[in-house]
Amino acid sequence: MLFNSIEFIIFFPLVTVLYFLVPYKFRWLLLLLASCFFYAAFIPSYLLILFFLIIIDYFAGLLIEIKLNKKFWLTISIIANVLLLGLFKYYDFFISNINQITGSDFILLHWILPIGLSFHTFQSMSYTIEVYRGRQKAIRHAGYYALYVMFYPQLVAGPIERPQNLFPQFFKEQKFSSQKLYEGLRLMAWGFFKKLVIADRIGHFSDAVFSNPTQAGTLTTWLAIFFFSIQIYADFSGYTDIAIGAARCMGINLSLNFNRPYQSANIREFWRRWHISLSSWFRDYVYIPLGGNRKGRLRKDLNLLITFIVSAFWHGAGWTFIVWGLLHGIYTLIYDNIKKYFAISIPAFFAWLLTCTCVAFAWIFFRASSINNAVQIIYKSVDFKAISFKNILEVPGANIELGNFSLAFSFCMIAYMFLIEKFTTPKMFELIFKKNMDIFIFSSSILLIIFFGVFQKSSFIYFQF
Amino acid sequence: MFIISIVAAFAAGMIFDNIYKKRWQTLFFEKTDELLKGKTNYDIIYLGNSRVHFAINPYYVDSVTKLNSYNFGFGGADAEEIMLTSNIYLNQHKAPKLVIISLDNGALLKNNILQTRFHYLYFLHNDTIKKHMNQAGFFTSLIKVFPFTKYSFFDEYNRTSLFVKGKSYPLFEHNIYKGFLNIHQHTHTKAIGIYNAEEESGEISDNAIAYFRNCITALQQKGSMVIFVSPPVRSSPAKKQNAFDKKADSIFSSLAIEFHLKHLHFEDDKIYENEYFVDDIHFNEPGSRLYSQNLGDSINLILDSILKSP
Repeated sequence: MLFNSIEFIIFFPLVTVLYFLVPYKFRWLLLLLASCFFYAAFIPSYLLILFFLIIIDYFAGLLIEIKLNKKFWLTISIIANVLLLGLFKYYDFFISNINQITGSDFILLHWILPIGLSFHTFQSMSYTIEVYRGRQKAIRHAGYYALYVMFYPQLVAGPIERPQNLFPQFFKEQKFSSQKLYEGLRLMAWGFFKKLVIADRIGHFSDAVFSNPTQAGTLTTWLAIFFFSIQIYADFSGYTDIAIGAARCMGINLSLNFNRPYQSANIREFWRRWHISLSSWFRDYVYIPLGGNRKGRLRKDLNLLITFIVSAFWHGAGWTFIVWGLLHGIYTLIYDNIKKYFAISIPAFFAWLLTCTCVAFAWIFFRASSINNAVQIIYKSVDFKAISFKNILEVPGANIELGNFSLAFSFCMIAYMFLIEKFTTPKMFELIFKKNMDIFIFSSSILLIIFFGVFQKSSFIYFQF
Repeated sequence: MFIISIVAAFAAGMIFDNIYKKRWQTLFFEKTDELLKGKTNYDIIYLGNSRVHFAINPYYVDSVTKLNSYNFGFGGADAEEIMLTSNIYLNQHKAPKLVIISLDNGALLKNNILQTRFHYLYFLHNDTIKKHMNQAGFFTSLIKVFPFTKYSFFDEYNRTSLFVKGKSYPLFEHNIYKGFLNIHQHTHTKAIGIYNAEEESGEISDNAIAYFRNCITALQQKGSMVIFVSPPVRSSPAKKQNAFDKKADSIFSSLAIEFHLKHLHFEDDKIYENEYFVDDIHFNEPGSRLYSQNLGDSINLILDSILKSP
């Protein structure tokens, strides 16, 4: 079920109302059934895959805790999760590359990736690893454990929660709070605004340019790269806001996932602010176990690159994602080494501009359908002889034209989004402005959604991961 | 909070309604108003797409036939919209003596044109329109209760019209008259080019054929005489007939035979030189004048033959 659908508009208030009406001891069951229903709206049979994961990791957790060959059971849990992910997501990529290189003809599976599988597996592995490390007690109640994996607001695209955050909240009886309800709804409205008014509007244009790079002009290409950079932020952070807001209405706090990443002054800061739950997962479960920065400079750099490449691979089975990850790894290495060996300080504005430019450049690979497509986009963007202010808003091959009004409106909304986020705390639960401003933000979000939302159903970008 | 937002939405919706009607395709609103609220019972009405809307000028037809006619063509209309227009007219008016249905092969495609006809969302008080717009996927009950929600369904092009003033039509002799509009006074082939020599192709929609049948049946039951008209096309370069065109032509011919309709064939008429067209199928104003006069003559011949027949 998509958040931006009529079904969710009915589902969400119903589940939230029932949550507070149902006796506390049955709330886990209500949420679990609701989450199953939510997931089944995509492909019902894939619930079986989730249940398989849940069973494996539930028992693995118990066996790890009673110290019955705990390393073995941790390995089983990790292998099961990685194998499942590998089969659905990476098998065809590896086999098709092998076929291409060796001329062989191994069979491809063509299995559709279960939606949100990358998120479930990481969340599940997080649980068994934390139990193994002694930082989390194994959960005896299978229902609560299943709910941890399947909690619907964060089921398909995160945030990737740690067990220490979710379980105590599940076990605590959440009392109805009008304040939390209001905060949750406000955050959801803001998320819908980002998704429907900004991301889906500018997405059409950037999609058209990336699909027809040879038809677009240089300035058109720049605009498309800029728009995609904004689109992916508005889309993903919008989804996260809706997820966090929906959970907040029930009194449950999900982790912060985005903290104004485009305000970053350097690449390290960017990764502290972008998709925080994923980057912290890789830091804690890949980078640090590899040795982190404890084994010398060269090893630290290598660990960093490996972490970024694995992270890139998590996003998708494709060379473009690997290049994207590699770029970010290289950016970070360059930044670290410049910072360490050259005491260069550049004005804050230029530091910010450089960071955003590097990130936008890397997004080209993230968005492109292939390396060749990415190269075409890059070539078009540096074809300075072809710069012309005529027909910037046209993409002839795709038969799309962004009108002047749409362009101006899109820029206004993007500016509005960044301005509001600059003056609010990350989860928008508090506002630095006077209290009246939150009324303004809430009302304006709703009005903008009604009058300017793009309601042709489109899924969230990170659903494909 | 919600109450403030809803009240603000109602207010904004009312302002936008007023702006939209004035700024965008006022002729669509005028025609639909005429369809629903007009007091005049016309002798002849014309149904079809832009090949009616831009082509048949009631001023010149009426001057030949001495009857009173109205152009109810809507640009892009498919079979469903033609039937909708006809049904609404019959519900609100006395049945016309003659109904001219201009044929375009594209009307037989699965177009779902109503999905882009946002102006009908202002007329949901009419049950026929409400039913068809509901079938097209609009939440008509929601829009009726909360009229501002119609803007949630608008595409970007139509939203733009709320904020960008469109071009005003230049006025010259009879170029806007009783539903007819043609602003291309003397432009010809090498000009704008709305529709050029693309081969129409696609799947014939069974629903489209059914809509035509329903339309003709309803009109004949009310006593109207239905006439098919195949409108002129630019003679050079000649539009090639592909398999789709041949199939569409044969469907229209079968319908004409089945319902005993007169079928006027203007498509092979060589008098319509290139200078009368702005593209392959749309007339400029002089072209529409010539066509309308000729159509009027043809209608007179048909009416005379009916009067003379035993």
